[in-house]
This record gives sequence, C-alpha cells and structure tokens, in this order.
Amino acid sequence: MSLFETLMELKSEAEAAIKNAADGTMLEEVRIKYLGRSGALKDMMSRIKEVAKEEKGAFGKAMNDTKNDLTALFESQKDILGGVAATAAKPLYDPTLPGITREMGTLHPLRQTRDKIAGIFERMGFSIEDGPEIEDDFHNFEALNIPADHPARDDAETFGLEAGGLLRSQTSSVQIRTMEKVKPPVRIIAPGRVYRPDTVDATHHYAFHQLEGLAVDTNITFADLKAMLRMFAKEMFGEETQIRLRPSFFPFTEPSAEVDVTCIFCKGKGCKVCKGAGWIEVLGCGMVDPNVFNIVGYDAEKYTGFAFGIGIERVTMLTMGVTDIRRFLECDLRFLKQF
Amino acid sequence: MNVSYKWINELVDSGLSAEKMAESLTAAGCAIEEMHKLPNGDTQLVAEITSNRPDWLCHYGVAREVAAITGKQVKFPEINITEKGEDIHKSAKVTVHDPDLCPRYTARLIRGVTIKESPAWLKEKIEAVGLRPINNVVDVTNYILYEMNQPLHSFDFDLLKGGEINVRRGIKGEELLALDGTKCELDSSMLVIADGKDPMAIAGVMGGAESEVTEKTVNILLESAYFESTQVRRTSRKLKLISDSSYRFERGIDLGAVERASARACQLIMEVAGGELDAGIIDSAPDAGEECEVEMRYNRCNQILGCEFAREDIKKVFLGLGLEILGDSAESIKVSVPTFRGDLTREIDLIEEVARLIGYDKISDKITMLLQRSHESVMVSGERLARQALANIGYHECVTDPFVPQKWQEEGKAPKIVNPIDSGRPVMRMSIIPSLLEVNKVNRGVAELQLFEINRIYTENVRTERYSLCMLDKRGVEYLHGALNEVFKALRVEKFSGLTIKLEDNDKCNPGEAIGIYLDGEKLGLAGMVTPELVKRHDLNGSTAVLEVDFEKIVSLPRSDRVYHELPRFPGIRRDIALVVPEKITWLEIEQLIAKHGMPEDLKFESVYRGKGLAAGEKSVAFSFMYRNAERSLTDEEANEECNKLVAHLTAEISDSRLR
Repeated sequence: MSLFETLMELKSEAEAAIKNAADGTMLEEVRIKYLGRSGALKDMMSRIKEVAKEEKGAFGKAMNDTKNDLTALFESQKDILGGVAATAAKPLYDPTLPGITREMGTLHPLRQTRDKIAGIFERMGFSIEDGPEIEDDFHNFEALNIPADHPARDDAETFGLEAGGLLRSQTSSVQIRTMEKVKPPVRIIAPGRVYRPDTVDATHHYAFHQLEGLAVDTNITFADLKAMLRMFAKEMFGEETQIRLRPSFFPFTEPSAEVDVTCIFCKGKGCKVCKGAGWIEVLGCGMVDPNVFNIVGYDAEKYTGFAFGIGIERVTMLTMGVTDIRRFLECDLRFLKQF
Repeated sequence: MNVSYKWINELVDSGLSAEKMAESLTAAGCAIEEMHKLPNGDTQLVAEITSNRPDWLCHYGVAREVAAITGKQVKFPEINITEKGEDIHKSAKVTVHDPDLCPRYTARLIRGVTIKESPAWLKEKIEAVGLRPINNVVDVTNYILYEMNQPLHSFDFDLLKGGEINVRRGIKGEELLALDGTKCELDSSMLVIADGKDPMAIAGVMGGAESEVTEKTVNILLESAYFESTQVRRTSRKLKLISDSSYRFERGIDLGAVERASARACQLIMEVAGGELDAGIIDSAPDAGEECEVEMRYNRCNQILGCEFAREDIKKVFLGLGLEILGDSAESIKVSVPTFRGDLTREIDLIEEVARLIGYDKISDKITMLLQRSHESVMVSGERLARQALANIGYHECVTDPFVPQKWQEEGKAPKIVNPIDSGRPVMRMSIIPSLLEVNKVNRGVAELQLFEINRIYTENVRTERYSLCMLDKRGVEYLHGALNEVFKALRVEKFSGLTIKLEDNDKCNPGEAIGIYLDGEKLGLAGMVTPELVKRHDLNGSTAVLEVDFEKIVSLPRSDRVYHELPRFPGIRRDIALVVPEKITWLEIEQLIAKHGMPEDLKFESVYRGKGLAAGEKSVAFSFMYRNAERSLTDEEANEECNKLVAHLTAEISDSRLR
C-alpha cells in the first residue's frame, strides 16, 4: 500500500470517527487522535521521507488537503454538538418577556395636531408661513377690518407690552403680513401662538395656538372653501365626517361661517360631547372681505379669496380627549407619553 | 340677548315650533345657544348676537328675520297717541350742542302719571327677557328697548332745572351719581344730558339718580335719541359703566326709528300709568335716517359664491329682508336699504345676504381652484427634522408657558406685559432654560429626564423674537452635545465639522462645567450643568445639564445633498490606540494631530481612563480607526507599520505622552 493509499484510508477512518462522535468529549478525543500534536496525521507527515523525491510535492498537498477537510468537518460537527449542548445548558427563554429597546421620546400633542392639520393642507398646495407674535395694532386689528372703538374689539382683548406693541390675539395677522409681502396667488397656512387675557381654567388659557389659512387668486370662491374644508374634515376626523356651515361674523371675512363637523364621538347621533346636537364647532372661515384687500393693496375686483382659522388646543382636546387645557403646558411626562 | 318665543309670534305668525324657530335662526346666523321653558308656557331663546347685527338685539328685528326665513309678514302694532296737552315747546327746551355726537334727540312730555306696579302682561314680557320688573314707566322703557332696540330715558321733568335739556360735553370737575350708584367724574370727552345747570345723565350710557323717576314723579320727560357709537363706547369704557343702553348704542341703533319708538313708548306709558301727553315732539333732526342704496352685480355674486342662483330667488331674499328693489337689469340689481339694516352698505353685504338666506348648504362645493406649488421653508423643514431626530433618541418635546416670573430674568430686561393675567408671570421669557427646569420640577420622580423645546424667545428689544432650541438632560452635558450632533446630522448641515464646543462661563451654568457652542467662530449657544442657585430656585433634585442654541442660525446653515459614495471593495483593518497624555490635552488637539499626520478612515473616540496604572494629572485616551488600501487587501504588517508611525508622531508632538 502506497503512502497515498494509507493516507486516504486514514482520512475515511477519521471522517467516520468524527461523524460518529456522540458528544463534545468524544469529538475532542477523536480530534486529539487524528489532528492532535502527536496524532495520526502528524505521524503520516513524519513519513514524508519515504516518498519519492518527485512525489514529495503532491504528497504534501494531499496531506494539507486532508488536514483542512478533517478540520472543517471537525468544526462543523463541533458546532452541531456544541449547539445541542448549549441549548441544554441555557435557561429556558421566556418569549413573553418585554423586548429590549431604546425608548423613543415623544412629540408634544399640540405639535402633533399642528403637524397633522398642516400636513393635510400642505398636501393640498398650501405653504407654511410664519409671523411675529409681538404685533402692532395695524396687523392685529386695523388691517383686518377691525377699527379702533369697534365693538368687534370686545371679543379680541390683547396683552400690551410696556415697550409698545401687543401680543397678537389671532394668527390672522399673518394673512396681512403675507399679502403685504407677496402678490397673488397666495395659498398659505400660518400655525402659531396667540394670546388673550383670559383667566386660566380647564378650557381657557392666555397663551394658546391657532392655525390660519388663506387662499387668494383670481378664481377662488365660497364653493372652493366648502370643498377644501370638507376634504380637510374627512382627512382630519375620518372618512364619515360631514361638515355644516353656519352664517357668522368675522370682521375680515364676508360671507363668514362657523364650521361644524359631525361629532367624532357619536358620529352625529348626539352624545354628551356634542351636547346632543350631533355637531361640533371646529373652525371659523369666510371669503376675504374686500376692505382687507384694499388695505393690503390687492385689487379687490380682480382677486377673491378665503380664509379660515382653527384652534389647535380645541382640536387636540376633542380628538385626544384631553379634558384640561392646563395639562398641555405643564408637560408632565405621564401626560406626554400618552400621545 | 334673550328672546321670547311667544313675543316673536305676536309680531310674526311664524307657524314654527320653538325648536324649529331656534334651528332656523341659527341656520341664518342668529345663533340660539340655549333654550329655557318659562313658567307661563313661553320659551326663552338665548341668542348670541354678533356685533354686525345690532338689529337682532330686539324682538322686532328677530321677527323680521323669522319673516324673511318663512316668507311671512311682520305685523307691527299700530301706534296711536292722543296729544291732549299744550305744545311741548312752551314748557321744555332742548339744545343739542354737539350734533356730531348726537345726530338726533327727541323729547316728549307726559303729565300726571301714576308710578306703580306694571300690569301682568307687561311684567310677563319683562320677565321673559330675563329682566326684573321695577315700575310701570321703567318697565315700558325696557319693553321698548327689547321690542324696538331703542334705548329710552325718562326724566322726572320737575327735577330738570329750567325745564331745559342741554346735550353737551361734560366739564372737568362735574360729577354725576349714576342710577346704579356709581359716582362718575365727568370730563370734556364725554357727552352728557344736562338740565339748565347740572348733568342729569351720561348720554347713551346711564341716567343720574338726581332726576330719576320715583313714586313721587308726576311729569315725565321722555328722551329718545341716537348717540354716536364711538362716543358711547369710549365713555362707557372710561367710566367702566356698561348698560343695555350703551351696549346697543355702541353697535348702532335704527336712526329712523327714534321718533316712532318715542311715540310707542308714550302710548304704552299712558296705558299703564295714565297721564296726558303734551302736543308735539321736540326733535333735533326730524329728517335724520336716510335709506342707503346698494347695487349688486349678478356675476360678482357668482364670482364670490362659486355658483349661480336664480334671480327670482335672489329677489325673494331681498324683498323678504324688507329691502326695496329700485332697479333690476341683466347685469345687476339695485336696492334701497331701510335704516334698521345699517350693516348693508356694500355689494358684498348683499352677496352675504343671498348666501345666508338661500342657505350655505345650497352653495355647491365643486372645487375650481387651480393647483399650486407648496413650498417648505428651511425653518419648517429644519424644525421637523430636528424635532423628529430628538424624539427618536429619547427626548420628550415640551411646549411651555412663554410668560415667566420676573425673577427668572435679569432685572428689567425682559419684555414686560402691561396687563398680566397671572401677576406671578408678568414678563416674557428670554430663554427656555428656566421653563424646562420648571418641567423638570414637575417630573421630579423621573430619573433620566430628557426634554427639548423649540419655541420663541423674546429680547428686550420689543420687536425681536427668535426661535430657540433648548434641551435638558439629567444625565450630563456630553449627552446634550451628542444630541446636538444628531440634530446637525438630521439637518445634513454641511459645515457640521466646523462646530466648536469650548469651555466658557455663562450665567446659568457652573464655571468649569459651562460650554460655549460656536460655528465658524459665530456663537450658537451655550450648555452646561446648571448653577446651585438655579437648582435651588427650581427646587431640583441635584443638578442637571441644559443646552440652548439659536435655532434660526442652525436652520439657515447650508445643507448638503445626499450623495452616494462607492462602498470599499477591500476590507480594512481596525486599530485601537490608548494614549496616555497630560490632563490638559483635549480630544480636539489629538484629533488635529492625527489629521496632520494623515487622517485615517472612521476615527472614533472610544473612552477616557484615569486611575490605577496612571500618574496623577494623566489620562489615557482610547480611540480607534481604520486603515484601508483601495486597490488590494491590506496586510497586518502594513497596518502595524502605519499605526506605529502614527503613535511615534503623536508621542513626539505631545510632550509627556506615551502608549499605554
């Protein structure tokens, strides 16, 4: 038997021994016997001098291949046996334990509502505009067709600042600032903080948020306003939502309307939240009064437009069921983490 | 405004139930907020009247609206007065000194009245609108107020010195005791009704106690007038005196009904209190109250409403409202507006009436607006990205009160509110840090609190308000530094590597633990561990780290596009180095020295170690990086050689440093 043949025999013997090893200990014994420092392969290697000079290279390669093959087989067998052993040794995994995570933070509920409303209007082509909170009488009142000494100012008390100016009582001031800045077409929404000297209670705060909308172009109608609000209401409050417009009065729009949506809790059947009416008031709107266009220098004959305003706190309280407006600014984590 | 359902039906045979009437009025813009059943079977409708519709502040006006809705006619009671006495001009004299402030003043004189309790029918009406019956004459004036919207005032004629009425400005130093007991100091900005000598009433606001009608009163001078709205409003505000009368004058009453209301009142007073009427009336402006003509173009109506209504329907609306049609062409319709609808002066006002009475629900909602591009500003996108990034890494977003206690700010600097609601928070904040510290206090029990807020701060210059990004982290400043990096990454700010953070004292943080944040030499903000003084003020458990940066500067930094870089084809070899250096050596210095030698790939700071094995004043800085050859696999030997060169470079450059 040539040394090559002996090697092949040794290889198949070793392969069988590795495969038959029942556990890690037996496998280790097999490894020592064949692959160990004074194992059978080492023995074979020492017999290389018996090989003819021209075959020495081929034998070396055969030795090497055999060693590699056996080592690979040994490793894979070790994995198999080891896996079994590990399973047996580890404690039982309880898959109902909570998973491990890095906890995310939260976005404030008022910001979530703002983002949701803004997103709906942005998808309909509105851009977000911003304006100052510290305003002047002109932008907060005069330009919005609310002259000094007008009874409409009764509903719009403001905070004054000692250094002059006032804190805007409505985001409608951004309408004026935008129209002063750009020519039509205009299609903007302006979310932001507004201030009114109201005593704080469960439903009132002196600092709260509104979102104003304004669209001006040569072809904008009350029908567009209705259509836009209907789409908004469905997107915001659900596919089933209907809207109802009631005539109202805002000095800077005419015709003006209060907009009700079918109660989001009872779907219009009548419940405690809607006081049995089936409808909930959510926003005010109307066609931009020609006086406003005249003030900002838009041609009131050429252009028409609509404007609307939504209370962010009110919508958040409605949709998320928050019953006390004071919770928003307090920022108790137990509150924030609910949204 | 409390409306009696029964009273309305006396003026217009509506055929509507109280519920239906409330519903119809609400749909027309006269919002009925509440309904109350009254003991006499009547229903009180509580209406919220917008300031543009003062005509709805009386039953006649609401009845007109019901008539317009139902198509019925308003029946106004006929006025029948017999003037038995001699000419009023013989006994009384009225002079209007300021006709601008009092466009019309009328007076009638009734002699020989008996002041007593009102009859049942009158009391019932007075109670139905929520008032308390007082006596027959006062009740009649209130009745007229609620029937015709005309505030009246009855003077005890015998108490008017000289039988004179002077409608004039007040004189500084004059005083008047109002009917409600308020002592009013008058001045020349106010309009008063004076007798031959003293003020007897504040025009349109309230009468005085001196000439008040009492049980002893026999002769009555009845004032029915129109006072200019701004004047009444200013006076009422100045004196802090608000009455049913001032409320109506402020909004504007019917100039054309002043005389009629007077006649009707006299008729009713004589009916319930007896007496005889002097002949005639003193009227300062008998012709006052012109009807207004307004034209509406049909195509303009369509242009505003976005749908076309039948002309017949439009005409029906106008006629139902009591407007007279002066002309109707293919293009437009012209109407004459009675004095009781002072709000209808422009074309748009008529268009609103068309929409309102045909019904907002009848207007189509077919969209015709054109598509328009929506633009996202750097502030909007920056705020969105930053907020989401911070929430993703565990920070909770706050929205806090912009009004803060004075002691949170440097004295006298913060914008001060003239009329604060909460006297404990009289100024506007100049920083969000104290606000988040207050939130920290609310969340006292939370061990690892991480908060942020992006909101406005205000500076002493009243016109300056800026967006600020503020963060709070109980774990330490290094976390805030890391979070700020994430914000920069989220915004893909190009100059990200130009950000420098250095030790720098500020007024909110502990010296040595305070840092300044700079970008290319420009200050962005500050961070640090809050001072013991702040800890104490905000009642905190231990100190906390805070950071505040100018968010407007951050969002305005140029942002890079997303560009793909080819992935490396050959594996790299990572090497770790722990370098022992003197304490004063900063990471930035080490980083710069490495860069000087040739920046390896993916240089990462790992940790700092102090203690066993190191001398005092020494620290071991561990970092790792990658060596790679773009053309072939790198060998261990090559990587080691590079690494050794780097270590040699670093230890040569940094004195007293060595490999650990």
